[in-house]
Amino acid sequence: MQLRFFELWVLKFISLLGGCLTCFYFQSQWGFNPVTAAALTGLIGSFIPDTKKIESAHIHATVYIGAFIAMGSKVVMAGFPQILFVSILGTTIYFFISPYIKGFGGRMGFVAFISSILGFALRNWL
Amino acid sequence: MILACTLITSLIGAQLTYFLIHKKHLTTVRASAAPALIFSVIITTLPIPFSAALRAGFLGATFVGMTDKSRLGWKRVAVASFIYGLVFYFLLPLVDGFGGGLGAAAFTSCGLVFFLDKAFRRYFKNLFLRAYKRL
Repeated sequence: MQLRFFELWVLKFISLLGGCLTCFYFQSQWGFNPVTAAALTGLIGSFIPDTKKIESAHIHATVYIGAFIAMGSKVVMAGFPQILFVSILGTTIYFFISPYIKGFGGRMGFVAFISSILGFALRNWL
Repeated sequence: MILACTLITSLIGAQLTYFLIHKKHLTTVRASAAPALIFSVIITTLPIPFSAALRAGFLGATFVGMTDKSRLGWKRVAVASFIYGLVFYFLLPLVDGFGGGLGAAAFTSCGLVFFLDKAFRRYFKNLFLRAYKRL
């Protein structure tokens, strides 16, 4: 059974936020550098089983996007609300633009970068 | 010295990831994360003064290697990784503190190579067609 629009978004959001928090945890509690923390998060995330029901959710990719977001000190230092806000932005952006940039390397990092900048800018402006 | 090392690291990172995805059939995320993690752990133990730059450079280069076969072949991925290395070295310090900068640099270089390749093909195709018609 295919997941519906909102369920898919929620699933992507949870995995993205999970990736973000896991990467942040590795950096803050275990003292890992951002690159090691992001790579470890991505590697752990890639072992999440991709069942038929959630295969369209791209769980592995969204976990990795979350890890990239947590690599940036400006988002992480701003606290949990900012992480949550950037995660919502990142999920929404990835949800809508991923069909157009399919197959290009760095698309996940690009989404993380756009959402980080947008989150930072909106936080300052609003 | 740092630039040369960054470019070499970029080439190796991208080609290794591309090889793991297309020859060893690993998933894209695993093919990027596993080499980056191993490289990061190894480089941390070595007494290199610019190890942080190399670590980040390698991780970003693995994103270039995540490109699909239908978009870029291995030679174009090598060109994209070279461009990525230059972008990483010269432009990435400007966006320090924002996550995803490496991916954005990789995406830009892949997109640039893809569209330049497309433009050149179209241009040369028209050129050859015109020359052929004249004959």
